Amino acid sequence: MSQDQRERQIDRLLGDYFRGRLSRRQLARRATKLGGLSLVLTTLAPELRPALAAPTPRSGRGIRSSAMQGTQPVSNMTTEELLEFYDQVLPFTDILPLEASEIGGDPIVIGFSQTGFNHPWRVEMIKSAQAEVARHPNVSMVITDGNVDISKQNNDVDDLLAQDVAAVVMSPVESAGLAPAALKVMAAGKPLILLDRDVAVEKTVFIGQSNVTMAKGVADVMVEMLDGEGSIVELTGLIGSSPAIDRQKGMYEALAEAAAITVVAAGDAEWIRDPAVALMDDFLVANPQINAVFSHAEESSWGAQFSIARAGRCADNILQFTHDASNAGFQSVKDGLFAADGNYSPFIGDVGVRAALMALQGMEIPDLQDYEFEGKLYRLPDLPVVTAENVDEWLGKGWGDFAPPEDPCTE
Amino acid sequence: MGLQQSLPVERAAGGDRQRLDVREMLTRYGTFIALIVLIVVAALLSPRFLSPVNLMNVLRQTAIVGVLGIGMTFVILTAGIDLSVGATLALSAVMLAGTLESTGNIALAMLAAVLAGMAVGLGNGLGVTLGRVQPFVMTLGMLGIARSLAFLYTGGEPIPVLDRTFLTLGIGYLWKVPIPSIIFIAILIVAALVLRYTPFGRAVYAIGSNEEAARLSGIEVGRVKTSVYVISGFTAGIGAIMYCSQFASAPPIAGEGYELDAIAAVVVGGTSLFGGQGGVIGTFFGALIIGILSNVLNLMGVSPFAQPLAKGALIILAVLIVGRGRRG
Amino acid sequence: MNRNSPLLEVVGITRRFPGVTAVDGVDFSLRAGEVHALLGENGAGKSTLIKILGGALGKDRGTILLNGASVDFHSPADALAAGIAVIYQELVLCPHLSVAENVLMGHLPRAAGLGIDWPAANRRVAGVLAQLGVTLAPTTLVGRLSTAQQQLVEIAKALSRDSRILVLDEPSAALGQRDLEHLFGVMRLLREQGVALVYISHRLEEVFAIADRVSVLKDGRLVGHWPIGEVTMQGLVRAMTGRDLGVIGGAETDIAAPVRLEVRGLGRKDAFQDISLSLRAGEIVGIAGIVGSGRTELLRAIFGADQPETGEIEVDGVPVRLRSPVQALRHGLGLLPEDRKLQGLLLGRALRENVSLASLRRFTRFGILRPAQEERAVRALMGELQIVARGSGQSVETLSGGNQQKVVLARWLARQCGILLFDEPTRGVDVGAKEEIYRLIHALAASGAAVLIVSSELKELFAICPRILVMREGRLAGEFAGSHLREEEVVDAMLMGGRSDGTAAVATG
Repeated sequence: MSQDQRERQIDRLLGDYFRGRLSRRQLARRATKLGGLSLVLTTLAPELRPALAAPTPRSGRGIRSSAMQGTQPVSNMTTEELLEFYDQVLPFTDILPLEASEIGGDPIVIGFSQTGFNHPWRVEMIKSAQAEVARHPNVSMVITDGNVDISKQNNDVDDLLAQDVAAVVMSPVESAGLAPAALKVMAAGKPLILLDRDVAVEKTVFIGQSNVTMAKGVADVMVEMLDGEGSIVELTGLIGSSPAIDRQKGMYEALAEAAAITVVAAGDAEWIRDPAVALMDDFLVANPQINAVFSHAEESSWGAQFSIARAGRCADNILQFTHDASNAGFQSVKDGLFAADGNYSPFIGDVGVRAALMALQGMEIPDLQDYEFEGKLYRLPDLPVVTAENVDEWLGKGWGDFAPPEDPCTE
Repeated sequence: MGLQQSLPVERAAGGDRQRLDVREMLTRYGTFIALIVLIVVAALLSPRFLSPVNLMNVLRQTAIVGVLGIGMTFVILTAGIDLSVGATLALSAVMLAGTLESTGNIALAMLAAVLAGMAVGLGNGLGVTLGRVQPFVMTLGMLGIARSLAFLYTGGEPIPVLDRTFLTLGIGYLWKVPIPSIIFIAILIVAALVLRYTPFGRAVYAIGSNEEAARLSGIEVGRVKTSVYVISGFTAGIGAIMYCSQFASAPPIAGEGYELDAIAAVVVGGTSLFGGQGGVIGTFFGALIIGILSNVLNLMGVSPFAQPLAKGALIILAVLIVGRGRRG
Repeated sequence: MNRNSPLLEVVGITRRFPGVTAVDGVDFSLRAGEVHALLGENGAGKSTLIKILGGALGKDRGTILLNGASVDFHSPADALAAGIAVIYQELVLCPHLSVAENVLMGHLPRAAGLGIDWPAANRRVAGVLAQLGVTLAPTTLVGRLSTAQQQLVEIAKALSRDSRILVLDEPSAALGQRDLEHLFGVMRLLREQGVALVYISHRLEEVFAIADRVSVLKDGRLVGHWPIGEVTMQGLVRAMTGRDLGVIGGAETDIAAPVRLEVRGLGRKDAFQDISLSLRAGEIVGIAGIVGSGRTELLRAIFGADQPETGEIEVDGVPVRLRSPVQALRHGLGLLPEDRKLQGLLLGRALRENVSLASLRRFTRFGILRPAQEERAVRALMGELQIVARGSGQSVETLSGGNQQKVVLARWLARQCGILLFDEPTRGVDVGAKEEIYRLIHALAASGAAVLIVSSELKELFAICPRILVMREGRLAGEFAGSHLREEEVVDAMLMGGRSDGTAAVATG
């Protein structure tokens, strides 16, 4: 049985488990037989960083935003600013296109359950959803903050249903933990649009980008720039988290065709800067020749660059390949600090809202695929990897408004 | 009477004398011995370990956790614990970066970091003394509060630190030694002197050894205990200065889990979690042991999946060696 | 069994520790139905010997004969199985379990099924307790019992396993007079039943009250053993220390001396009420009373360690309010606490730090300690108090009890307190050290200090205090001085609370 087949089978098992057709023990037994218990555990295990005591700027019932308001909550933008943002920045406006006008005749309230407000990437996703709402005068949206906490987000969805929203757009904290919430939405007969992270149960549509193909795209650029040979080090995201697993997978898919490139060291940089500095310090000592750093996150890449400068290895011209697509990251591409930045965009909220509105109007959503789970998949195309060649057209179209550190190698 | 008659007492007490010497040796030098053993093993495993660049790297990497460990040592010596240091570091860091961003004044920014840390420490100290809240609970609560304040202050985004002069503090060298390491060692020396040569230091040990005896001997227990948490907050503030100047950024998630590294450094350094025994020099060695360990694992290219296992096992091993001396 | 042939015979037992021979060729014998007292200063080898008997320590040389057969114990369980039970000073009971569970621990009777036959267990324990003449419900939680009662539970535990040899390691250290009498009653009962008892104590008068024979150890060697009728107290002291016990008379009160401490109507809920006393410079006043009479609480309240609710305190004629020990220290008060390990010593720390703890300011200039000055002062005190230690850096944990007590005393001498409150200054201290402490207290008083002493040992108070106050149930029950200072009257006041008309006995002459 190939790896792919096995994964599909395990996914099916997980689906059965979430629908209650399998007990936990049966799931574990069958998964073990398939040699995939660790995969199951990975899926069930909490992903990403644990919920820190993030602020909760919400009332018990979520934050309302609509075109009628002056300034929108969370993003703090006016309707005009949002409309301009829609036209100038959002990359996916040609996906599931919808006229800027009233939808039907009656007011429509959409619920948006976000993972948490504690990261700019998440806030930008909300901003893009608000921009879509701003285009339709009779549509408004209730936003909830899941605090990166499974039970909190489940409760949020309960709250949204209690307010009788017409449809729910959700970006789940975790695949497994939000299955109950998804089942409830579907049972209430409302469209459920999932963004960025899937759950294994029935839904209207899951819309997401692929970390695997995106990372493969970045790694392809790397292979090309290294002329197919050299030594690289990998700085992963938080070990065991699904984006980190996918980005690593994508990199190895690209490296499979470049036998002369070796990964001489890999370490867990936890998505952030300080662990990356220490790791890179040590990698530089251990390896006299490093041609490139493949990092899962921009923060880690910046950390690695500090380390390179401090070790006096700027002249080695170590290339930095990274992911995240922040404006600061694009600026670093422009500055020459990064060779390439994987364009994993947060601006998919508008696509989600359009999908919800289309479902409510009974319109058919084009290009839906069947896939291993119940419901449909809408696979967003990978945005182009941002490199020196195309960076000018992407500057300002990333997320966040913080500045990148200066390149310590350009004194 | 006199010495002649009293001799039997001494001789009998000497029954445990030889054993005690070995025990004391292990207690006092166990960490140091463990450090030497580790250095030898590291040098054998990786030829690059002893290169000057690498040793400077280890010193720099150890500085932040080491400084936090010094404050933590004061707290643990009084039989307390401070779980809030990582979060305090984050709050101090964002205060520093925010102040630097809005005023451009480096001194003011560093002052803001240190004051924020000390304020958090004062809160901990008053909660533990006046409020009689268990240190574990008090500082666990403070962890959440400080972390949340850092998030509220920044709105979740990291604040970049772009001031070149300030960044020299973290990246630069003085006499070929990384500046953070010099700050660390300076604070270490001051702390060691305070513990050894001031009434306050004596009081810290006395309280950890026997709080009631200290109180009955006229030690102002409440004031001293409050002070150790303020010191821990102060070192968290210093840690924040090092963090921002090394990483050029003040994210609200800075310093996550640092409290556990700091506690590990203290414990590996031979300070008893029950208080009254140990000191900052041990913490210095403890921090170095942990720093060298992860350095060597990286140099050898050990898989990130296996690294926590090796670290955990070595911490337990180190404490076993030191603890063998203590418990006898 | 022949009463005269020994039940247990120990021949030439030797035990070495690195650097010292703790027990050196000791012979010792024990007959059924006798109480055999084991005497010796701290460190003479008593503890090592009974640990060997109890199986807790191995021997390097020598033989243990039990009923004439050679035995070798590898663990306390071996000794227990052979019928030897040692009851150590630190009791090892489980406070959260009942008396019955503690007594029968490890061999609770099983019911027909799998459970424990509680009625049978309780019956059996009640039987053992009755054998001891103790009225105690087997179902009581041990944590609720007094120390004296817990000791009896330990004894019951030993008896329930048919122990024929019972070793009691300083049982009187934690007992008041009345509890001690009761313990002696139990011991006599056991003696009649043919149990052999080894009794260890520092208090010679107890030995004369209960023992049939006495063995004295010194420097790990046996000095000798005698039937109790053949020795005198002086003789035993000489055997133990190699010198005579000096008799120290009480210094007379100087009526003209200024009053240092005046306490009026002091009271603290559930501890003591309406206590008034005054203490002059150079005076040594004793407070007698059984455990629980409020004496310790009184000293703590005067010192500010606990807050009194009523009454007032004057130091040198000036009313003061002592809210904490810090303030008491400022007014020249010092307290030697009742339990040196729990309240006095920093066990893991150096002798030096223990001594200078209350007077750090003396050795500080510009906020910096001056180690040389401190060392000099500590050295001087070590000499003055004849503290035996390897040096001022030795951990007090490793000092003998007497030396530990001297260390706490030295702390207050270093502080040069004018008003000293001593709570059980010689508890758990050997005879030689005791005498030195008495001498010291006298020297303190002679130099003008006012001393208030609480002690459970009446002999001690009579030896050093010209004036004795008696407390009972939290109130002053009498005051004795001069020709009225007679033991019977003091005991009477301690137990009966003075004359039958209920007024306190005040007798000075």
